[in-house]
Amino acid sequence: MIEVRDLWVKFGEKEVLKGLNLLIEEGKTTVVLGRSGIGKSVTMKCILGLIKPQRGQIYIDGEEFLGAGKARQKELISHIGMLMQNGALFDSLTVFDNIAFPLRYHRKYDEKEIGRRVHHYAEIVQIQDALDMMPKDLSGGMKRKAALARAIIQEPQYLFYDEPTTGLDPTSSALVEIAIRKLKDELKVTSLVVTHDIELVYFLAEEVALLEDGLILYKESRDKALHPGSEIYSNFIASREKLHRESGYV
Amino acid sequence: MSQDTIIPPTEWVLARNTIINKWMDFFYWLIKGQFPWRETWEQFKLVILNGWMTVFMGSVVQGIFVMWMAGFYGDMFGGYIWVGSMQMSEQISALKIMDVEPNTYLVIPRVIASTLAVPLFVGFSFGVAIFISWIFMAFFWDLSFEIFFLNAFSFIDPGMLTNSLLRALTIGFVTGLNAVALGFYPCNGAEDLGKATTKSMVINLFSLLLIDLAIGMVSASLSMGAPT
Repeated sequence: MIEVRDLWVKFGEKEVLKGLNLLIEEGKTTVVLGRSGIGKSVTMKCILGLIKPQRGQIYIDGEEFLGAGKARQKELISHIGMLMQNGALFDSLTVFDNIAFPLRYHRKYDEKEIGRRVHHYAEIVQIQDALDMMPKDLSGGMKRKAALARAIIQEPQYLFYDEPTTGLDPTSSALVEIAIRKLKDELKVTSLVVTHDIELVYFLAEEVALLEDGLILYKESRDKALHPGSEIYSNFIASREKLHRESGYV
Repeated sequence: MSQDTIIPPTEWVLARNTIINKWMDFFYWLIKGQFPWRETWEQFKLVILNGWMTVFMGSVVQGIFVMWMAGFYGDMFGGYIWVGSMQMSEQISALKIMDVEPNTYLVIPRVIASTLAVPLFVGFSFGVAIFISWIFMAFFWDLSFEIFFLNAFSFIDPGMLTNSLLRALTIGFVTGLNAVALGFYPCNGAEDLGKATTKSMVINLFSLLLIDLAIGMVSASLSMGAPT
């Protein structure tokens, strides 16, 4: 379980997070919804130690993360894998080498075992036919799936997804969504997804949180959040429809 | 002006600090980090593939080579690493999450690739220059291949080769490391990227002059042959 308490982040004069609280429950997929530039990725990066907040506490499996020493912080985040918005694959390496990268770098296994693991995880995310290709030859969806395989090859307990379907066509989005769902079901990982894509809520979410004005304004179960009349539904999911109506064009 | 007023650093001071930090980082992580051979080899191939044609031209038109050296790495390495870009900042984050020190993966392979590539470029450039000289000699004065090459190589001695190799390695190392360091120069847009690349070129041209002077003085004091 990961718990974020009273998180404050400021860039220059701009306050991005203003006392954010969030609970990522064990074994569940929590989706954080919010408009672009509202601080969703910042929240994720704070949990991973990539951004240092001005104030607040982050508890990973009950242990305070921000106050821990560097070595302990590294140990704590070693249980977390992350899928970046654009995949962040290394251009000079093949898909196979990209997926094998963390294992090779940390010299965890011999080449035979690395090969076995790469093929296993590539099969889970359905990228096994592209292992010899270079990232530049992959479509956006394939890149994300390759990056997903790289994120899970160290068998993390938690998986974070930063806008996993942004910029993808509907078919590619669906394939990435299925890969994420499959990982959740097969590996039983606890997931945190930040997005503004409502479809992800329908397909993946178990818990839904709405980030607005630097705070988690509402957190509801999937069924409640998707129910017309709920706070999240009326404040975010139905907001497009509402604005369309107010504009007078619909 | 009150004592509390913070004076923002000028662009050149920022560039200098960025370079000093990355030079220190390079040696620290070279000693401490695991050596990424695979990435070094990939970067070396990229440098050779991207550079050989310009080196060919540089060996024909004198002066291009030095100018190219100063700008090439800045454009190739600095432009790629530029931390302000979405792709690169994501890669740096991904490396940190995988507990891989970004310096060992981004800095060391590029610096070693550039250090090893420059002596090859220089050798290639000399070879092309000598061969084209022979073509002219043969065309205008009907000079034979054997006489030309026997005389051309009779001027080369071990001291001169050592001197050239030392210059080439030092130039490759310094220009490569400066260019990579300026890739970490804080940029907020395409304009800043242009500025960083220009700085890289100016700093590298200045570095080339200093290296030439320093190695020239050392080789003169050791009575090594000076390359023409």
